[in-house]
Amino acid sequence: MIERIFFYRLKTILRDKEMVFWTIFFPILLASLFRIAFANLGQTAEIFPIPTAVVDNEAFQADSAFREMLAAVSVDSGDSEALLDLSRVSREEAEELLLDGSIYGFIVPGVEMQLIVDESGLHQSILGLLLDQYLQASSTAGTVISRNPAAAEDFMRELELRTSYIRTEAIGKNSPDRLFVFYFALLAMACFYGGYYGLIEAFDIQGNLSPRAARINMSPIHKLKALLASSSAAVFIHLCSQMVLLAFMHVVLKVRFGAQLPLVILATLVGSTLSIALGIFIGTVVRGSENFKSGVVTAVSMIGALFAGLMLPELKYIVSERFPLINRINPVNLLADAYYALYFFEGFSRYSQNLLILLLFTVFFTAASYFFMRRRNYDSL
Amino acid sequence: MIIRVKELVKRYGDLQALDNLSFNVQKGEIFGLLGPNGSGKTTAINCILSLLKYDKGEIEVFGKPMSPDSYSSKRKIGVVMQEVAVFEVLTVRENIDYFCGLYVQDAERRKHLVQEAIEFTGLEGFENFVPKKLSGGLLRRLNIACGIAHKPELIFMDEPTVAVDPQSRHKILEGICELNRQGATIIYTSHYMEEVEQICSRIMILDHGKEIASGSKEALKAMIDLGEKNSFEVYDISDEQLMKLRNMPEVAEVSYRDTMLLIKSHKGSNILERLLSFFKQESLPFGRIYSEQPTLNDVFLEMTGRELRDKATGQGVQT
Repeated sequence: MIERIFFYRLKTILRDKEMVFWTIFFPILLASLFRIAFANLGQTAEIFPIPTAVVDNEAFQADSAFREMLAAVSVDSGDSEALLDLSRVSREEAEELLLDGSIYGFIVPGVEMQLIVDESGLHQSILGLLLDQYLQASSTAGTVISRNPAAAEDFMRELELRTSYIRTEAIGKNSPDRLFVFYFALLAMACFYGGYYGLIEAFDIQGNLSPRAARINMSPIHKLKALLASSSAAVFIHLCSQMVLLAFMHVVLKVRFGAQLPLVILATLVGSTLSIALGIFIGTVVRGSENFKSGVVTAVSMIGALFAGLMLPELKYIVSERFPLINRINPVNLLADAYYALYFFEGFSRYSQNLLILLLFTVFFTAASYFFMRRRNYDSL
Repeated sequence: MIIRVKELVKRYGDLQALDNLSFNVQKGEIFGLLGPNGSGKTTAINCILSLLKYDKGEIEVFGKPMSPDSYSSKRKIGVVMQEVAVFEVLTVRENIDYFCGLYVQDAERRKHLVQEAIEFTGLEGFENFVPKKLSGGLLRRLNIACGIAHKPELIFMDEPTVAVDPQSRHKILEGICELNRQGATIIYTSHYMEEVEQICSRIMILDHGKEIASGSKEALKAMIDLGEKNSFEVYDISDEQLMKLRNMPEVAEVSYRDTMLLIKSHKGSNILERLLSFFKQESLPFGRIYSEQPTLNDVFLEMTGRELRDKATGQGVQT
């Protein structure tokens, strides 16, 4: 009997075209739209190396530290992620290169280091920042050496340490990509669309919510067994739909989950189960019409996804910083953050922590739903 | 005895939906619960089936107290609810199979029962239709098929013919009688007195959750003073002639409206012949004549002072 309920539930879900669209095709559509709309966000590789020139004058030849710094960040260093494609030229040649658009700017070494550009933009700003950083570091080093030559060695070591720290954080595991924050929030939001499946479960098992449920309650089947069979089918279908979305992101949108894929699937399984438990909870406990309850599920998934960084990734950080509790109890954010943690961070502590909270939520919503559902007859229908 | 209900009380806040309702249903009966909308028929059924909590009283089904966990009793019960309760995305056959499967586990037997239910309700040719492709009548038949496919011993039918075309209604009522002939005991609720009169062996009339009267249709009609009702199409009649009619000892009531003269007689009086003589004697021309026996609506009207339905539909004999 249980298998038949499971089997028929699969059928009813798969034949519900509206549900299939919202839970499977809509997230795919949204992900594709993100890809088109924000295609340039993640393409940092196209910015670098920045074609730049330096005027090879007397000051340049005299400033060995500056020469070394430029050599270290230019393609001549052999670094595949070099910042600059540097040409050493005369002032006249540099001006010509700038005029014909071959370079974004050129540096004129001297007592007063100059950066010459003919327009403002991202590349020019990066060149300005690079130069400012060098000038600040060389000025600090000069001050330290002139005032306390003995401390020069410590200062240089500290400078090296700082450099080392920045490198580890930036490269870490994967370079941060705003687009991925969108994708992870979208994946989490789609997962919480499972709440709609949960709502249907509640409507089909609570005798006071629909005539069909009343009929099932009048039959000789234990309603919680029927619910278990039916909601297992819902979790299964929802997990499959999430796998389709994951596959689409992986194959078409090139979101690489790499060796962490099993953990991504685990997080999705937990998220799917929670979303359906949440839907059952809303269907059972929240008072109101079917449309109202449906609205609550939509609100939870959409607002939750918004705070998790969908539409505006900065919002995730703002909420985390200013209202940390919201993101700790926002299940959509917890799931998105689990994906995020797998992608960006070494180790699994953040991932595990998120998953643990999601599991606790699942237990809570299941227990609360059971508490309300165990009533076997009703005050009114 | 299949059902025993004793002093059942159900309140919705201040509203008393069932007021010390007691009745028994014997094996093999078609027991009708007749009453206007809101009289407590569906509430009584839902209490018997343990879907609704009740405030007081005792309910026994198949000799055992009924509770939500009475699975052995539930296995022998079929329910056809007032609202169509099927899955919109499953076909006719799948819906029947699903609900039959809640009672019957054996796949072969179930297949056979599903086919029987399809044939019984006349749904052949529609097996692969989804409910939204069915007409109102066919949808009602599907609702019935889902409730009776497992061959229950006791069937609750709550207004199964609401909003059904005459052809489907006839088919449904015929089917109910056939189920009864096959051995099922049936509890049938309706506010259509003709249906109840037609199929029920015993009837209880409810109003405001209370029993007004119960018994066979003949016994119920015997409880009131009203005899046959004769209606004449008369285009002109004087006050004097009306007075003469009213003064006849067998006549209980005379009314004249829109060319229709209605004459109600006292119980046991057969005055059609006498009335025809009166028309001849008075040289009073008339058109159509209808003569009908008292209906359950008359019983309800006499006992409560209200019509059973907004507009009663008498089953008359045209002469």
